[in-house]
Amino acid sequence: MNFKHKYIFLFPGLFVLIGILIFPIIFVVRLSLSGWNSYNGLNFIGLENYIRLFTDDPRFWESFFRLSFLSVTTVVLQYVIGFALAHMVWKEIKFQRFFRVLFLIPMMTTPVIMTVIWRTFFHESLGPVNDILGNFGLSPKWLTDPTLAKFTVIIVEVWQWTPFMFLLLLAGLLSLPKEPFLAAAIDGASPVRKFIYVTFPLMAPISIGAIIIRLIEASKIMDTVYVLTSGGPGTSTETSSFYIFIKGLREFQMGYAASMSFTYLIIMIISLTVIAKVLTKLLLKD
Amino acid sequence: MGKLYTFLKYFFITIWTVFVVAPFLWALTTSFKDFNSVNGGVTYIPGLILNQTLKVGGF
Repeated sequence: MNFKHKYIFLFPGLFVLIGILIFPIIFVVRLSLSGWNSYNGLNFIGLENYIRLFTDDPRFWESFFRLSFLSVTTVVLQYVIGFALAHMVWKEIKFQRFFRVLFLIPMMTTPVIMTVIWRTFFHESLGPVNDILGNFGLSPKWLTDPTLAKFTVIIVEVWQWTPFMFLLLLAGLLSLPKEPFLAAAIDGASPVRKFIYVTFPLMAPISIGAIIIRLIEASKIMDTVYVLTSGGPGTSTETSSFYIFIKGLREFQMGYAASMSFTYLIIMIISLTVIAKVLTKLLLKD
Repeated sequence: MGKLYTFLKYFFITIWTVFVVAPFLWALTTSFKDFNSVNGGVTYIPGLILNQTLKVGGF
């Protein structure tokens, strides 16, 4: 049956795809080639914004490397803790269902609201953390010290998103076949060897997927930084997305913000593709 | 090995549970406080100022 009209049915989906995905990207590219701010319109200025970005804006690159550090650190911690927790509640333990639900709760909450709570939690004079540490003569400046502020952002991100990693990895563990574990038990493998040679390799594909999904999400850290530190003290916790937000929606340099967004998108696509390939090569040897 | 693993497992689960629950408990106790209690210093149970008793003589 030669039913050429079938292509008509593709149009609604194609139309939505063009409207919500392709048009914004094309518009951002066009915007990045303009000097659009609150005073003039979409005037064409060529590659001026890109030249400024690559030659005269170290703050963007600093924020980019800071973001890379924050996202890699948080995702590694989330993976390690998430895997450990999933492995612990995978087999029979007391209150198994309770812990499985409890560990998922942070993920169900609104990040902005929880970050406000964490901000009061780490408050230097009104927060319980410094109140307890004060009994031991300690009063760390969680939000006003450049190094500790980064650490605080990492703590909040790990708290919020480890449950996501836990969920994916627990689902993966529950779907593993029983035969390799039975074979390992017959061979007399210790629990450590079972983990290294059976569980971990079998979990590799799921691990790669979970790490990539979290890296994509973590590379957009914005709400946590905005609420917790507003990029401060100084620019010590400023990430690329937050810097783009400042340039675009506080200083109204829309053209320049668009050039940064597009550059950031290209870098993220390339780096995440490379990371995915490297992880696949490392973890999926056979 | 078995006993050590079990101890470490429950220890880690307890630590993580405290970490997960702490901000919720803080939010819950704060929800029962009035403005002055929230901004006047750290109180854990509304109406009961524990830190003042902990810090007696700690000038």
